[in-house]
Amino acid sequence: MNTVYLDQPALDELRSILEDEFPVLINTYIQDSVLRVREMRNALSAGDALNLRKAAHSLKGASANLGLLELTRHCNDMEDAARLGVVMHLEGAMLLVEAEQERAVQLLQEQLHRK
Amino acid sequence: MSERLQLLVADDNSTDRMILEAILRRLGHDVLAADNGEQAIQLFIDKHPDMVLLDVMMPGLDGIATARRLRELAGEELVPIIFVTSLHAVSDLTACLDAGGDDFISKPYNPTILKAKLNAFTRTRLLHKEVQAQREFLIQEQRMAKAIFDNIAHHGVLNAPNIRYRISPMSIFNGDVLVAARQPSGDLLVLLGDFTGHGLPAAIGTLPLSEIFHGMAGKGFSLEYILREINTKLKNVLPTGVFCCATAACLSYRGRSIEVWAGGLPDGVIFNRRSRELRQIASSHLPLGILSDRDFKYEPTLFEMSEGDLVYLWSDGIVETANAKGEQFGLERVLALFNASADGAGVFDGVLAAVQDFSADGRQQDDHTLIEIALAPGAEGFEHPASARRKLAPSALGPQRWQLHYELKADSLRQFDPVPMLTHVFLQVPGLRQHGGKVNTILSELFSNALEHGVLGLSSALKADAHGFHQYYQLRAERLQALQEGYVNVTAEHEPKAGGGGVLTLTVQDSGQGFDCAALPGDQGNPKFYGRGMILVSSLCQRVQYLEPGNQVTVEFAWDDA
Amino acid sequence: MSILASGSPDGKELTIKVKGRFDFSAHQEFRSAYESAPDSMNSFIVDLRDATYLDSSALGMLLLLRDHAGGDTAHVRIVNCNPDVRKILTISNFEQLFSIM
Repeated sequence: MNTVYLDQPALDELRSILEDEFPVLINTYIQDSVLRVREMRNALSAGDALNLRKAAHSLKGASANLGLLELTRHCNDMEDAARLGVVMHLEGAMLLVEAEQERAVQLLQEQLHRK
Repeated sequence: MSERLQLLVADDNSTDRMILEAILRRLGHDVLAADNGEQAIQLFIDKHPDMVLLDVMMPGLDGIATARRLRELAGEELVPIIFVTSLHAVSDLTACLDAGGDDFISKPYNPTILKAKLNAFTRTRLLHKEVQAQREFLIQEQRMAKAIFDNIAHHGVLNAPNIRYRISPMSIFNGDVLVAARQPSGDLLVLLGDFTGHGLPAAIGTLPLSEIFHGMAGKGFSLEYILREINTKLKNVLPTGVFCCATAACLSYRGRSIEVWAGGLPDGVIFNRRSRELRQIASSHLPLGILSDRDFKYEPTLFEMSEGDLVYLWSDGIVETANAKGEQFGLERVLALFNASADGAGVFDGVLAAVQDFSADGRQQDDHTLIEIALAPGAEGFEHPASARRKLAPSALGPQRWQLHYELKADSLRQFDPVPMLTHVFLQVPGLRQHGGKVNTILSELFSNALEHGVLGLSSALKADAHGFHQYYQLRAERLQALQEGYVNVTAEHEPKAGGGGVLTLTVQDSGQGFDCAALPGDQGNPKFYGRGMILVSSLCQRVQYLEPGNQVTVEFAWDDA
Repeated sequence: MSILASGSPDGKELTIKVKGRFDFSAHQEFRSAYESAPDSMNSFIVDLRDATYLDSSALGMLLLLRDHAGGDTAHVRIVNCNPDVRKILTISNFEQLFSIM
């Protein structure tokens, strides 16, 4: 299976738009994503569907902007579930999000060291 | 589209905010950034950005609530609000639009799409600004026009104690016009008009109408001449399809009659507060400005005037006011108010109140033009209206000693009334203008006697009752139209007196058979409808003399410089 | 509001049917209806059977039609008026200018 984790053209466009600010953007995202994942974890443990949804939604948007396709997809699934009020049996989904987020961080750091 | 805009971006996610800011700056715009709703609102108040890009889901005040507040703050200004969202459910998007959002862009941001949307909104903003500017311009124009109208279409005698009227200041832009004037003879002329259309085109016609009305009334021209003149002017000046529905009335206290010409307005009413009799004034003519002078018909309706009569005229705004069900107030309801009133005392206010209660949105009476004329008891003053209010400084320059001879033959008699013109000539005598009413009355009486009794052979006995009254004037019109032979000639002479003032001597002769000079008309029968004229002339003149065979009369009017 | 124009078989008479509210919004269409008619049309019928309302701008449009059709020599008939429409034409005394049925 050939999963595309990163939309390279999109990221390249961002790089050209942000120019010198590009590293700042990447680092901002990385920090933000760590926070959001933690929020999701906490919300899940507390059975708080609303905050789970908000955090997932937020991370989804930012990830989409950075071309992180898989992560975006997993956040979307989490958001949909939380919207329906579901907070049980999401452990698996949570793990997927966490794993993807870690991969995203790696991929982005690689991007920084390019060019 | 290269306008540099000031954009407000609100998004609680730093990543998204950064990216959006960067894209927008790249497109050449200035960006204000907020990370929550309250901050966005504050920035909006402080900086007045041109457009707003708003994330939907934010902590605290979310995007929807923020958008509502921004809409309120923007007021009449067009400030496009673009929602930035990764929500896709239709219900969410609908909620955005309901809150005042104009468009959406979704994440991930697409710079091309963003650019296109900004361009589209810029075009709309410019269009909106243009429309607002034009609106401002029109309002200014109307204000100026109204100031001009107020100066020209003045109130005349509308503020006399026996007249109550309601016409809103802006009604001129609905084409409504209300004018009233007193003739030198003391007769009261009133005209209520309603021009077709709205705005400036409807208002413009009121200018010539008002000028002609006041100008001619002041010189003593009869209602027929005034209406003919107005009709011709409007026909020439207004485009085809634009006209003026009007009702005009002449209240003649001397003749104890109300002469009405009605063309196109809903029925007016003459209500007698003593007898409670209700007479309707029905429209029987085409509105003014449609027919050529040749086709214009005067043919008024004559009503006998009685003590306690109240004359009511209104424009169609009153009759056509609609309630929530779309029903019109209608003439029947108006008439019912009259019938229900005890003595007519509260009818004026009653009509206005009833119409407002009835109206669908309780609208103010901006479209309602209404006039009530009560007959003032007793004799009306004969002074020239101007002199009644200010002392005229007698002009030292003018003809004081002169003679003139004026003769009108049949074909001229058919189509011309010389009385206003001759009055005007006589009143060139310095100081005589103060007595203009009396002079006009005397000349008018003598001339109409000569024409009607002498040349046309009409008998005053016909005017003995209301029915005969109508018959008399109908016969007068018929005989005048058919006149082939005959003449009236007027000789006038003025001599100043040693201590000031003078004597005006008038001789009027006609081609008629004459009458028995020994018996002055008015001695026989009821003086109510006829003969009052000559009694009045006798009371005004120091000498009245009939010459055999009775078709010539000479009077002397002596006057002093008051 | 709609305007429907149709010519008689002999090409001499034009019938203009007005449906709905005959007010200012009808201006353009009403005018086009008779202005675009061929010159052979010398007689006009305005059919108001389906007209629900008539205001002063409609009266103005009728005057314009009459003017176009020759003014005093015009042949313009107004037909199928309901009582409300009839009333408005009567108050304005338009039967002095038009043949109204």
